[in-house]
Amino acid sequence: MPEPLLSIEQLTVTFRTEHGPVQVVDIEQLTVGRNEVVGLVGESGCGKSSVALSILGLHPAHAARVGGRVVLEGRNLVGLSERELQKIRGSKVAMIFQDPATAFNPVFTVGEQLMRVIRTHKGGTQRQARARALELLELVGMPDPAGVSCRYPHQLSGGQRQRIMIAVALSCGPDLLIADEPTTALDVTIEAQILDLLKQLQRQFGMGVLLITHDLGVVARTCDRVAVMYAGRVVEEAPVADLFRRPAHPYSRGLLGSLPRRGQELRPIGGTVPDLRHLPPGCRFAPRCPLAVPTCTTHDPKLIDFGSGRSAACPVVHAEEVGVRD
Amino acid sequence: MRTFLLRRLLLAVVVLFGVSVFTFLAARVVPADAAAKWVGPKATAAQIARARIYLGLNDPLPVQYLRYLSGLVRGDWGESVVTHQPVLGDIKAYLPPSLELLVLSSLLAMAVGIPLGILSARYQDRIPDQLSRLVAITGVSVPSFWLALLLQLLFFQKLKLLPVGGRLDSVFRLAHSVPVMTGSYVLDGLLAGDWALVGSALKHLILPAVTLAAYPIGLVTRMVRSSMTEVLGEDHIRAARAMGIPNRTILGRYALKPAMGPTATVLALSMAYSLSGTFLIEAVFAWPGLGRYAAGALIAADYPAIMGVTVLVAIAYVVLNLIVDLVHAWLDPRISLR
Ligand SMILES: Nc1ncnc2c1ncn2[C@@H]1O[C@H](COP(=O)(O)OP(=O)(O)O)[C@@H](O)[C@H]1O
Ligand SMILES: [Mg+2]
Repeated sequence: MPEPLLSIEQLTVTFRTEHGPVQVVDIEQLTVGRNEVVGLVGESGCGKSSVALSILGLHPAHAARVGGRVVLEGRNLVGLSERELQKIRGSKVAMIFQDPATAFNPVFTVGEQLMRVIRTHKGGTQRQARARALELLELVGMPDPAGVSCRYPHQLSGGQRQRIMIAVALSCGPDLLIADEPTTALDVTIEAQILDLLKQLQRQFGMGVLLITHDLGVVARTCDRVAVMYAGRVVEEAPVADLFRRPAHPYSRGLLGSLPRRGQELRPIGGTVPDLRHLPPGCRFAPRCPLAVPTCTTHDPKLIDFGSGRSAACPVVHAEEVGVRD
Repeated sequence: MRTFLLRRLLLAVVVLFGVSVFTFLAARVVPADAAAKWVGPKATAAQIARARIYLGLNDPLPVQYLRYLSGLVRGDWGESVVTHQPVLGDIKAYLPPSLELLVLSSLLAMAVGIPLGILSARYQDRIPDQLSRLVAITGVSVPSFWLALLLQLLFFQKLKLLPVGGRLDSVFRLAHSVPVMTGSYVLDGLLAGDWALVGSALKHLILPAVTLAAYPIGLVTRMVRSSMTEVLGEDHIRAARAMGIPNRTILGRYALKPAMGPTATVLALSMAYSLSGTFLIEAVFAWPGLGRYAAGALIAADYPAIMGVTVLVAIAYVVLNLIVDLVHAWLDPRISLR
């Protein structure tokens, strides 16, 4: 197996809070290959954004402690100096945020902001940066790039802003793109356009993409592989088609069951997401799990590899059940 | 933009109209007799009565007010009851030195306060922040006359670097023909290309300007710190960091620009106040500014002069407010001037 572009190993993120430290992320392993789109899916508050921010060291040092390794092309990013990280951010690894309305600085034109990123990483003259900026705006499908570049963020629509954010992210040809709920703030038709654009540009540039979402529909539309997160942990990993056909982990099954589909009743998961400050012992999903057995509340499940790219952190499910032959 | 200016002009007229009513009434309800003031302490009752007629004090109040208002508009701001000089002429003489001081001290306040505020926001709750907080709190709380004396002691007495007061050296003034155009020696010197004059005037400006700047330095420092701290917590700052924008750009551009609006507001308010509220500083530095004029008028109960200064300060507030609004719109494109 070739070395992945990004490999997250034993990653923990712990916030300092008034009530003491709270560990919100505890991930054994998560990889993104070159030219691969990996979905990270889970309910709101399960720690997806915390994972994204820890990849680029964007958690404020006084608020969070990050442990483990984030290996990009063989180099561990955890613990790098701010100066080293600055060189990687925006050039090797780029990021797109959930709300394009607040991700741009409101008092500079989008063109200025785009050009500043280009010049920060590529140097060059103002004129070269401008030419490149116009190219990028055209690439992401903005009509009238010259006119758009002179606009302020509030003068553009949500979809336009997200397109431009993608232009900013791609401006320095990153190897890895982290997209944290890139379409959550947009309406459905715009969402489809933005996802298609992302997918098309990903193919064109051969980037690895970590696509964070709480929406399985987005995963189905865009991703090659998917990791399901629950309460700070990855509980299942699978090729997208396999997950939808035969979800392994009871949580994934619950999520898929709660997807409204024709001819099928809506079956939400009973119970609520556990409070990260007071996690239950053993499997974090056990209190809500219809398949739980007594050992589930005493033993912490590890990811079990079923082969064929499938794994799940549940001792109750077996390889045969997920359709992988041993 | 044009409708904005028009609207603001209208607003200014309304505000100034209100101020004129207020100053007029205030001068009428105070107990001192303007006619008695006018003729002096040794006057007879007949002289006072004649003065009442001359000053129009026997007319009905509305008539008196209209006379006052039309005078204001025509540039006749009354005569000082003490010196019998036209008030507007006096103000014209005292205003340039005041403005000179005000502008220089405001520049100082920005030059010192903005970097200190940035430093504070950058190193929140750490040593640079504590030090800048100390400077700021000292700046706003130190009594200005005490600071003035301290500076004189140090820079005049001990180091013999700067003059103790006045606007020009007396020797220089005797030996030099001083061109009079704007009334600000610095500007006049620059306009006439008279570098010796500019130099001497600046030297005399430094200590009073530093003293006057102490308060706004503290104000600006704290304001820059608090607005920047707020901006630094916004999403777009994290996004900028995620794009690899270096820290100094984030501090000096991405967070500073949105933070400058509130700073401009407090600075302008403090400037408007300083225009006439600097009596102590002017007294210590023998500076012939509006503060001294206003204080003298108050002590002598010279109502026309007091009213004149009040109207002038009101105009200053209106003008500074307009400038602040323009600055806000220039800093933040989301604010539209309507
Ligand atoms: N700065 C912070 N301080 C303390 N807790 C935080 C902070 N940011 C996020 N959290 C907590 O961490 C958990 C995970 O949050 P997040 O990573 O944003 O989840 P997601 O992106 O999946 O919605 C949540 O319970 C949230 O309340
Ligand atoms: Mg999130």
